[in-house]
Amino acid sequence: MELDELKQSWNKLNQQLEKDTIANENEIANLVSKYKANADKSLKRLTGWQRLSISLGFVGLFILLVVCLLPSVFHVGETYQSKVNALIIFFAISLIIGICWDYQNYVSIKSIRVDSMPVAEVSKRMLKFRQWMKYEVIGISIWIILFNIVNYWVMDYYLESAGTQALLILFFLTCDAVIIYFLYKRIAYKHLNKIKKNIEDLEDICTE
Amino acid sequence: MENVEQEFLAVIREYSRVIYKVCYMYTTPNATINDLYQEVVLNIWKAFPKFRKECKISTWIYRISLNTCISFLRKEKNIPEIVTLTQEADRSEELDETQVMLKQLYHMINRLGELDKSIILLYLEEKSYEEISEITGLTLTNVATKINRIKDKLRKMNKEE
Repeated sequence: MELDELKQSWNKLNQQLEKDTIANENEIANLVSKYKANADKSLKRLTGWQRLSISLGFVGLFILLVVCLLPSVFHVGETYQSKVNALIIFFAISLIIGICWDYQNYVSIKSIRVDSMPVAEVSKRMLKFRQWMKYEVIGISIWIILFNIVNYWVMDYYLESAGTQALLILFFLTCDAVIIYFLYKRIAYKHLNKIKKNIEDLEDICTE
Repeated sequence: MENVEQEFLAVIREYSRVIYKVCYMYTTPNATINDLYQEVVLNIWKAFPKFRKECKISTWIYRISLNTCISFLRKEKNIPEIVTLTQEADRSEELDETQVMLKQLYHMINRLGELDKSIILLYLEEKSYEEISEITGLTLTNVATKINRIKDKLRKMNKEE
């Protein structure tokens, strides 16, 4: 199908749409009145996911802080204290990076102005956002592997016999592979083709 | 306020086909035509009081519709479905000649990236290069180059099939 044929199909679509009204005007008026009544709420819902994610990050940090400030309650003995501290630091760094990442995504999505930005600019920003989702999967995958290494050390698995260690490593590697595969399939894979197409689109373009 | 609402409804009435066509081309399994249409209408309403008539209203409507469809990310239902469309161009069970053509049209355009899709859509809507440039923010030279490249892409896709 080339451009001329596309044009014919487009005209068919136009003819079909001429036949009837597209949407019920009362429903549109209803949508507007619902929006007016709930404007603030819907804005909150719109960014609800990022807000929840950032809030959970802060809750996590708060729990870590409590654990650090109340050593008498969470004291696990001299031998393990340094390991628990290392684990706390690992989680704290992960949470801080996670919060910053989510905040960055939140700001980036909020900054899109559909009524005033040119289409090329919105395309560029959405491409960047989808690429971030890809990096997010890579980041989470690295985190899972690091967590297993830290966990291996904290739980003293390295003191076990060679056979047990081999089994444990095999088990952790399998779990990691399954989680990473799931994340890749669920989040990144469906965006890869879109990212590729959009990079081609945005190559060599100049905006005024 | 009542006046603004009447004006807004008049604009939606006039451009409902334009909005529909844009939404139709950006439909995905995660974003149904109803979802997109409703989101576009809502975004037009939100931006309506800020419209200063610095550009033609059609340019403004195309820009909002395209930008909304391109940036549509739905992880959950933000708002309940209120507007149900009375027309659904690709839902008919009967595969008559028109339906086949529309499916082919959707299939071909959907293989393009988001920006190319918007350019070809505006081209099919017989918008001038100046208007396409104004809506997309590309330079006139870029618009012309892009359209030629899209023609080549479509030709290539056609050969591959």
